[in-house]
Amino acid sequence: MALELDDIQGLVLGAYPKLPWARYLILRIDDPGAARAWLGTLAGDVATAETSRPPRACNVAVSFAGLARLGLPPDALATFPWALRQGMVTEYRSRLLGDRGPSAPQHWCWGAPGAEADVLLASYAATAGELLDRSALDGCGVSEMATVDSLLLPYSLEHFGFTDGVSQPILAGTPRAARTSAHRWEVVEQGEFVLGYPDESGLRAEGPTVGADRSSPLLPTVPGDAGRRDLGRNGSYLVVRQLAQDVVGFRRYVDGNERLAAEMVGRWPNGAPLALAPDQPVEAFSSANDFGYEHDKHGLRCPLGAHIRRANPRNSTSKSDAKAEEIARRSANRHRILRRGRPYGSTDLDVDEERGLFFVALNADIERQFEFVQHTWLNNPTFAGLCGEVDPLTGDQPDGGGTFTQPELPVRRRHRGLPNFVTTRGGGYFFLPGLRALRWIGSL
Amino acid sequence: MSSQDDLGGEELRCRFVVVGASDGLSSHSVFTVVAPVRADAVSGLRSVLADMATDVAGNPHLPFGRLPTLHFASLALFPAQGSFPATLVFESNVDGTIADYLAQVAAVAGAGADAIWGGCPGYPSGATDDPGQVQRWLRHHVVLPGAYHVGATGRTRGQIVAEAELREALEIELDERQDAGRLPADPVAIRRGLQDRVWYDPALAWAVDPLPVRTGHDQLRHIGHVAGSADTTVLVPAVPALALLAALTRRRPLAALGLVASGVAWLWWVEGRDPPDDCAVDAAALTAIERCEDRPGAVQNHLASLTYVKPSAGRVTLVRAVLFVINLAARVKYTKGELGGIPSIHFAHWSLIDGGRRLLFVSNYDGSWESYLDDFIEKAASGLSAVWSNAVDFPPCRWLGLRSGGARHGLPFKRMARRSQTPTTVHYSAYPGQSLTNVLSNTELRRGLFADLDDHELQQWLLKL
Ligand code: HEM
Repeated sequence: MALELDDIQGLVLGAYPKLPWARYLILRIDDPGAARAWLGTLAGDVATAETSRPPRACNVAVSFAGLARLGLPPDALATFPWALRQGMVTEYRSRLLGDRGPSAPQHWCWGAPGAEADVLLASYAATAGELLDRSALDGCGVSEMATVDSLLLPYSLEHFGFTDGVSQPILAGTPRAARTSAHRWEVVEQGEFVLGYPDESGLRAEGPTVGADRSSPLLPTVPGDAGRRDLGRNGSYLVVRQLAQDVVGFRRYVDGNERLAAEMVGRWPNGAPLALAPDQPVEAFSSANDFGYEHDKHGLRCPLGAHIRRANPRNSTSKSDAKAEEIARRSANRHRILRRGRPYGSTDLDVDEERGLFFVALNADIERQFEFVQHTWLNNPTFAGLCGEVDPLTGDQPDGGGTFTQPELPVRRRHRGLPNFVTTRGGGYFFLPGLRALRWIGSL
Repeated sequence: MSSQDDLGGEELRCRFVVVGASDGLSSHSVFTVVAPVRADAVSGLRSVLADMATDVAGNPHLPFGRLPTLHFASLALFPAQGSFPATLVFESNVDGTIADYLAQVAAVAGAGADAIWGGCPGYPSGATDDPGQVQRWLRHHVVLPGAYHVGATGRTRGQIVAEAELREALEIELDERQDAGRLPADPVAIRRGLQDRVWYDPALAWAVDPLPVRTGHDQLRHIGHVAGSADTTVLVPAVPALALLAALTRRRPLAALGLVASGVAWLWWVEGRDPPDDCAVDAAALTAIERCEDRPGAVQNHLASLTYVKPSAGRVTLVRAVLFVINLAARVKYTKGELGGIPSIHFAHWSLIDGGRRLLFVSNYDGSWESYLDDFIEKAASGLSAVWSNAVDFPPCRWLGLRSGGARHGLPFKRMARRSQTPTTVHYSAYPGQSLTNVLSNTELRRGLFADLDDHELQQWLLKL
């Protein structure tokens, strides 16, 4: 199915790599009327997926609390998925996401219980001066809760020194899917990320709807239900996590052992995956994605517990037949996310400020995709037959330190005493509406 | 689901017997005790259960940690539903016989049994002084599953716990040798070091004895034994029906064909009716369920679900037949851990209760609810739809959902599952840190520790560490 590019926010199809500066404005709605009017006009400025390389871009997403505050009718609110309605900071979700101890929501700089964000405004530009200034929000009915500025690091590095954003699902039906010699599992059905389109199971990705009587003809009709209009079509769900990285702690732990660091990530700093380049960072593989783990059942190349093997096990399975691999791959592809995050904070470790990853992920089903990756894969102590260890890079380590197993011949080596290298500092779940839906919200 | 067992002296001795005497062929009893609860007793029971949940292993009402043959147990209270009163489901998955286990329950619970079941009609009041009476009452309410699955077949609880401790000891030994730079490069020498660790430790010496191998004859005996442990009434309607059909085929082939055809037509017709009511899940109910899930320190979760069978005699017969087939598959085919490709179920059972009008499902699985349901959707949608397409509000499908529809409608299916659930207030696991995969690989580790291995096998064995 052809994507309605002019109705889809640009962030869905691209991360604006040519716009190195970004500003994330986390906003509270004070005056719903003014905020609605502002969002309505903003619809004219929002970058859509139609323009592939805009000179500057702005995208906007609204949390459930924000949608309620903007006055969406209750029947529409009730059709949003449970995770969005609950938000990121209930006791259950904190348990699921591993937000405890120093990562517990009460320590967050934004998004803590009772102080959830209403709107996320993301601005991208070529220079810092062109970023959206908070003064532009005067009189818009919103106030600033937090602002995070970001400048891409050279070579797309993240703060631990690894190339990030190498592996991304490619949406079926996009020019990229046709152009690349895309590997079997790089191409993922549109409905995994864009609401209203068929997903990996062949069903239309379910989105929120609103009673036809309550909405304007701005919104498309819901297929098969004349009584409702489609609020979700061309939208997506956006997950934000402000993840502080303890770069000093990471370097101290790794202690110059580049191989250990690479095994924790699953790629070398230049991006080359251990699955293809187990011995050294072969430059030719630095953006390689055309691989599975079928020849590496025991993790002798890429450890079973490595970050990328957990975050996307591809065709990993304990069995060694092609059918089991295909089932594993198909199953893994129902749990993919589009990562759109960027680093924040200075790379100069002498500058005493927080640094980390402003993690942004898009998906059509927060529970099945983002939360699944976080809980069932990254933070799962028994992932892939391991026992008592979680993601070495981002995991919520047990008190007293975690474990990371480096499979080797003749026998494994266990690294113990792993501290938390990553701390959650803020976050929220948002609805990234299509342009028509945004205009409709503005017209309420 | 809090603590590990306390390894008191008695427990330890008992474990030795269990581990030492294990012939590797141990059979489990998998069952529920289902009892209605008087309306006026529901809120009292709720607080008793909540109280138990704060310390599942050691609580004063029924300290599960003191039941040495228990793998998993749960207590879930389903609220009154239509004409059915509130229902208390007590699920147990144990080694040995139901009678032995329930005798232990009655003895260990003492007065606690009154607190738990005192609100059930017919419960012998003041039974405290007579555990025999409690035991009889519990036995009277036992429901055998129509179909069940055991992940770690043939392993006693003592074996599973002991083998996990064995792994822990071996891993630590290896760590220490590596840290001290004392690890030899030769695989044979590495294993010898680990063997020494076990040989000289009286607490681990049991691992020196080889694990018995299961022969074909044992296998048959085992199947014969477990065949008796499921609810055979599932066959009651099927056997005469099949006999009738067979007789008819011989004398009146056309009539037999007609009978089959009308059965197929009937299925086609009923599957087109009863449009499911896919409504949202009640927020308060869902929050209560989630509160009992993903508890810290446990890698397992529990699911307790109760659905209405679609009201027709044909549906009841159909669901009985499907359960029979699943049970057969579970006994014969899925005996190595996986159930239909799902590698994370320790114990699961389906039971028809209330004369076939309601279908009870309880499961002890690894990981989150979301991942469990996704496993169902991605790997076992056919078997699952074959059962639940006979239940009210299951997403629409044709031909029992064997090929399409049904559970493959991920979100509606998940909503239906959530609507059918009640919070598992009390969940006990004898080995909360062990996934099924861990349990199976711990046995492999034990098996190879003292076995005769060639170079290749030895290397493969070392990779299990
Ligand atoms: C500060 C925290 C994090 C850091 C430093 C980090 C770093 C990285 C790096 C270096 C890669 C390899 C490059 C690539 O394939 O793009 C990667 C891949 C990935 N990460 Fe993270 N990550 C973090 C948090 C997360 C979180 C929270 C999630 C999801 C819940 C996640 C999901 C993924 C996924 C899905 C991949 C791609 C795996 C693949 O397809 O092979 N990451 N990450």
